[in-house]
This record gives sequence, structure tokens and C-alpha cells, in this order.
Amino acid sequence: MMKRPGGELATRPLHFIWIADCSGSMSSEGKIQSLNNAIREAIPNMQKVARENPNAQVLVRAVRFSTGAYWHIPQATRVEEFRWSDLRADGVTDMGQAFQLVAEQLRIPPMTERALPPVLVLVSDGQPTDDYSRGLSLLMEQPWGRKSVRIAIAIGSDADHVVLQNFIGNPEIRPLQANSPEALVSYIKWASTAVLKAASSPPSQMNRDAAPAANVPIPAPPTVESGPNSPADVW
Amino acid sequence: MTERSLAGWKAIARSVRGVAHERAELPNQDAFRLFPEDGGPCLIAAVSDGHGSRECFRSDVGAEIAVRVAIEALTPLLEPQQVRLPTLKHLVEQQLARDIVTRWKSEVDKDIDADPLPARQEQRGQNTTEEANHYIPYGATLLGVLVTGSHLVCVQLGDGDIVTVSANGEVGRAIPKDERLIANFTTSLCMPEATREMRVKFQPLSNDAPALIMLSTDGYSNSFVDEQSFLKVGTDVLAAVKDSGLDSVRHQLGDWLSEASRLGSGDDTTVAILCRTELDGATPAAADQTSGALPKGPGG
Repeated sequence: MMKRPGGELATRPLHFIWIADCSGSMSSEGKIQSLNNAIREAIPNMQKVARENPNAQVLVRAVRFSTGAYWHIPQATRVEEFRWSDLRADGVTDMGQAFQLVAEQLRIPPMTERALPPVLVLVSDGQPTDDYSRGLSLLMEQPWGRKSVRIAIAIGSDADHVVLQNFIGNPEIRPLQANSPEALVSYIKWASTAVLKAASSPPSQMNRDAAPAANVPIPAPPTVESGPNSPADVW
Repeated sequence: MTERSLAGWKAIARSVRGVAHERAELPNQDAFRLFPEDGGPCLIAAVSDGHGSRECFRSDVGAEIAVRVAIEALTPLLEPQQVRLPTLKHLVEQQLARDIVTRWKSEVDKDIDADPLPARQEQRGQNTTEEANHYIPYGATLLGVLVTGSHLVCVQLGDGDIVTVSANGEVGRAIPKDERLIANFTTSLCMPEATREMRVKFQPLSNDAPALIMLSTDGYSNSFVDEQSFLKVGTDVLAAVKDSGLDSVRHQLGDWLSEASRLGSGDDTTVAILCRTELDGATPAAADQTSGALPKGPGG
């Protein structure tokens, strides 16, 4: 039998990045701890999705933003080895700086052309206190920023849906409104499983110059009971 | 004409369904075609990758149509009668893309006439501000190569790769990569701007003809850790053809592609390999071969 031609074979990297609001308001009503719990609970489900889609190498990390933005988990970690360390909340809401950090990592290099579309999940309970649009522009200047799947989860009624929708950049996908820990868990699970699965094996999409549509077909998010009279709403 | 001047090109091709499509119970969306299948002084190869998305639910048909019309459009260029190469070059660069796209759309229209689209798909456009585009369900890419003794024509619309290998093992791309096409985005035959987006290259050949040309869908290149690992396929396959013969490579090709899909991208994987006959290690004439020069064709 002849030796297989070519060099090393490899699965395609899929970068999954949590972008978490750690401003002072997140310390109230258990919001930051609910976020910590939800992300930690999502890990086994992400690992299951990764096992079911072995041709995608899922790599997870996290950015936190409050006064400034920092990599909470800077190393793109194989989901099989990913462990969550709790976030703490204090400070303002420098969301734009968070976008800039992510933009720097979506350049080519370190990204490669053969990667799968990155998944960026933004979670916030308020309004940015910095020039978020500048950071968002920097993110969108990167080809991988434009091609990423961007999901936004609003925690509580003070989150700015206009900002979150601008981040998503796709009129077919709306920010998810989490008014309770249960809703947050449900949305975090959806973003880290159903969306991850869709990005793991995306079909080809036409490179349209027209208004952006979903480059990865995103399944519908779960329906969570909410509203002014819902007893479940605490935020 | 001597036996040597009759020597030309041989080709093999293979397509395997991606392991991800096996898991999802989806069919292979790639297609390929060779003409003439047994090789000869001149050869055409075409490869296509159907998009396979929900809105491109007939893209396997679109890919089959693509390779068929590519062969039809390129065939007149095999032996152009009394056309000087510069004129032929101009004609190819100005008209070939439009010819292929027009033929493709015409065949898609016939397919729809014979098997109408569901009403909902007929009315769906790319977005609410655009006209309904009934070609979208058939969306596919296209790679095409025509090689004679005097000229080489390459066409590319969408992702995928056309790699050339010289007699001394130098590897290159016949058409540069489109840097816009990442994250599974591609240009397509179904796009309104398909003619404009199709890239065409005409190259007169003398003693610089490639020794080997490889066309592959992106499922193959996406299976390698980096560009260099993928391009190494070209040099390795040429060496294998010289050492063991093209027929031996043909027997192994399916296994190689299956392994690439399994350990790499998971996508459908299609490869067509064209090589100069005199370099085939299993061809008796190759034993007498002392140089890599191609004989001149009728257009040279």
C-alpha cells in the first residue's frame, strides 16, 4: 500500500468565546453567580456536541469586561479539557474594549483560513460605558469577525438591546432576554450546544455582498416564559 | 506523427461522501467529469461542489450540471481551427465564463421545467429586497481545466483548488486563492454575478507544461493542517505516479480521500488528477523518457 500523499491531516478549529459583563450591577440579585453556574453547567453538553462532531476541534476561552477588558481564560482550550473559574463583578461596562480584545485574536494569524466560523456569545445586563461602536468596528474589520456567529444574551431589563443587536449584526437573530436564572441557563445551554453544533458542520454559504444573513443556519432558541406577570422573572 | 508526439495526458478522479454527511444521512454533493475518460493528446477535467445548505436542496444536481456544461463549453477549445493563440486567449478570457454560466442556467431551467420547484422556493429570493432567484437551490462551485499540447485553460468559481506540479516537483496554484472565501463562504454559479466572479486563466505552453494538475474540492484542502501540508499532495502524487503508475494511484485514491475526510474536514472530498502520459511509471514509453517536454499540439 502506498503512503498517503500530503502532510498532516487535522480537524478544523472552532473557536468559542464567552464575552461576559462583569460590571458592578452584575453583582446584584445573584446575576454573576447565575452566569457562572450556567456556563459551568453547559460544559458537559458542549463536550457532548464536540464528541458528536469530531471533525470540529472546539476551542473555548472567555473575556470579561467591567472597568477595562481582560482575558478571563486567555488560552483557547480544547473543550474536553475546559474548566470554568468563577467571574466576579465590579466596575463599569467597557464592552468596546472587550470587542477589541476579541478582534485581536480573530486576525489571521493567529486564526487560519481553514477554521470553522467562530462563535461569540456576549452576555450583558446594562449599557456600555465606553465607545463600544469603535470596538465593534474593529471586530468587524476582521474577516473572521464578520464571519463569526454572534449571539447576545441580555440579563435583566436594563440591558441595551440596540447595542446587543448591533453586535449580532443579523436581523434574523435577536438578543435573548433572560429575566431569571432558569432562563439564563436555558439560553446559555442553547448557545453552547445548538449553536455550537450548527457551527461545527456548516454547509457552504454564498458570499453575498448584500445585507448579511446568517452564515450558519441557527436553530430557533428555546421559548422561555417571561413577561411583566411572570412569577419566574427576578431580574 | 511519432508515438511520443501522440503522448499526452491521462486522468483519474474520485469522489467520496464526507463522514459528516454520512452521520447526517446526506448525499455526496460533489461531482466530477473527465473528457476523454481514457485520456489522449488533450484532456478536460471538471469538478464541482454543491453547497448542500437547506436553501440549496438540489445542489447535487447543480454540481452534476456544472461539470457537464464545463466539458461542453471547453470542448471546442481542444482543437481550435486556424485560431492563433493570442486570439484564442482573448476569446477565452472574454467569453468562456459567460458561456459556462449561460449553459448552466439553461440546463437548470430545463431541470426545473421537468421537475418544478416547490412554490415556496420559487418565491424565495436572497433577501426581501432582491428578485426571486430560482437558481439558488442548485448552487454549486466549479473547477475546470483543459490542457493540450499548446495551451492550458483553467476556470474557477468558488472554493476548491487547482494545483500544478512541474516536472521538477515545484508546486503552485493555477489560480490564486480567493481570500474572501473563508468560513465556508463561497461564490457560486447561482449568484447573479457568477460570470463576473468566475476566474479564467489561459496559458500558452511550450516546454513549461505542468507534469501534473490536481483539481480538488475544499473538503480535501480543509483536511490538512496547513497550506504546505496540502500542497505536498501534489509532489507526493507525482512521485507515486512515476514510481508505481497512475493506475496504482487510482486504486489507492478512494482510501486516501476517505482518510482525509475522516481525520480532517468531514466534508465530501473530490479529486481529479491529470498527469502527462510519459511520466506514468506504468507506461512502457516512460522507460524511454529522457526529458519532460511535451509534444506540440495542433494549435502551437
